[in-house]
Amino acid sequence: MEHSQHWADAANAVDRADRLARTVAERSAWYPRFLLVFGVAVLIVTPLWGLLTSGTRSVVLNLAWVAFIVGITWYVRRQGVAARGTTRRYLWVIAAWAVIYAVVLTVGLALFAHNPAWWIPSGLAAAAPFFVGAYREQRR
Amino acid sequence: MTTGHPRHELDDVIHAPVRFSIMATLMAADKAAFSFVRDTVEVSDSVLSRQVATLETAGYVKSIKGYVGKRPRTWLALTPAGRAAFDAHLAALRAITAMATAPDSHQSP
Repeated sequence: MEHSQHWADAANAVDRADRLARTVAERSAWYPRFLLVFGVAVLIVTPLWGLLTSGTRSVVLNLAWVAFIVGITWYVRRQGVAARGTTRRYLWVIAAWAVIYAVVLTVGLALFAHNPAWWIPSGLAAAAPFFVGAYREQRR
Repeated sequence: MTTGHPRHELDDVIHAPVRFSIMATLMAADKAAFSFVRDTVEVSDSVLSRQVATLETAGYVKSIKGYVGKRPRTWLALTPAGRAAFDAHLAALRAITAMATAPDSHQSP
């Protein structure tokens, strides 16, 4: 009888752990959405950096980008939970984006300013880490 | 007398139901807001505070204070020791449940 109770208690505890893990996973669904939105923003803004280099338009673009970063940071900080490994995986996405972005800006501004043939594919390249990240998160 | 029964591997700090639920929730997360854990585990603020204090004393959980806008917010996360302890505790629980399918090993110690 005592052993039956041990088994029942243990089985219940294991079930509870699995259920709580599922709840955390469900409530962490904001993360792929965040990556997708960030990717779309990068896809739009990256070409504009190279195509709209004149004074006023450049200032407006900078302000819009700062507003976007502030807004999305606020959104992330409001989330109640981040699934295990999210921070590590996000750092990989940001690292990949930073490398691509640095290459795109350095080469583009030096050699291809105002050239859509460079900047539009560059937007796709810079956004790719976010889209790949969102896709992989969705499949987890 | 010490025996090989897996129940002897259970961690007394984690075994209490509320603390087990807190640990299980945090195990699946990098970090979680105090309010998220409270709502998920379905306990009051005071009960959660008390149980988290016990887990912090054991070195299993850490609290991180921060702000969202002007609002203070507390985040909870497992320490590496907490993750290892929960892994071991869960392994013991799974071993106990596995014994249900091996009747010969049900002999009392």
